[in-house]
Amino acid sequence: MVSEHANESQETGRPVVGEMTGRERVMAALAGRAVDRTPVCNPTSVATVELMDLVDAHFPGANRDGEKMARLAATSYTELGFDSVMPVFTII
Amino acid sequence: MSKPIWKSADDVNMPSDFLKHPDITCVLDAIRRLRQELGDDVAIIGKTMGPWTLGYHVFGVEPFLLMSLDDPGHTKLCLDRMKEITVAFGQAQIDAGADALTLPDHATGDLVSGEYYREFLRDLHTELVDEIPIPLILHICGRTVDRMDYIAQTGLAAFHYDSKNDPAESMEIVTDRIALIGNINNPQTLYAKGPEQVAEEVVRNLDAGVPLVGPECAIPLQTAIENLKEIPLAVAKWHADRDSSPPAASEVQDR
Repeated sequence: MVSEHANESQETGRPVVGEMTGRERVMAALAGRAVDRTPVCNPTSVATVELMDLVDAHFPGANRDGEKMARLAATSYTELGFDSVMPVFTII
Repeated sequence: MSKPIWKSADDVNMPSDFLKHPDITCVLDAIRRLRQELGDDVAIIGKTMGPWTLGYHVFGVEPFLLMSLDDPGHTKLCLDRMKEITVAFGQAQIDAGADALTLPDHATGDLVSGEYYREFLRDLHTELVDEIPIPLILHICGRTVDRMDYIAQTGLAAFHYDSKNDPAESMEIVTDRIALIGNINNPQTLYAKGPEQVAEEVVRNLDAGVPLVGPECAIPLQTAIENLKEIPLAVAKWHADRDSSPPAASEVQDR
């Protein structure tokens, strides 16, 4: 599972990958390629009441208005530091 | 679900204006906005429900499960026809800018056996891999170790797995055939405990070799932000600790 772009650390011998964006990190991990660190990802939903208050995008509006949905979904990255965003908050 | 809209495969029909429904256009609009605003910095994951989950909705959970017992062939015909809906919504999200798609298909251990997954869904999921051109992330709640081997045979990119499954046991089953994502407990840990306990579950996944870490499912709405922020912090700390230590003997043997 080592990327062709990865080098080995002389100190530890482990593969070293240059700093990646969240998108690169997630897509590499999904493809079984090497990453600079393990990506943090929730492919279901991370919407919470606190996050809704922070960006003024609450349910049910954030489920029915694309602008509010995007604003709430973005908090996964902008507020929490996750490597992915997921705008579809329902799981069933 | 209390008033199912369909009773048989003859009823399965995707409305011609399906992709123009406000619930659909809202999601597509959100994905376009996220791509425009966040660019390539973050992975944008969409979501399209799998045929088994759609079956619960359109036939009702109990009638659908009874159908699967009474007439497996007819159930497979229904699933095959509903697959068209899964693909259509998925493709629309790809066109809007999604990088990957979650595929919730709730063949959960609480409702059906691992052999059920093999009989009804393994080949269907492989067909979805062939028909949808971006990575698919299967999501099934509950205890699923009895079907993980079958799930790993599908070609799906990832399986988002539940905290009812031990990370090391799960990794031993799937090996590198599919990427596991998870499995920090929602109700008992993220919702009810603190950052220290969250970090412990992060480390348990990392130590087991789980390639993507996160909550096990959609998190409770009252979950504290502090607990969620702890996940990337604990991941960064684990990597810093590991990178500053010499490789273990097992790592050297692996190379």
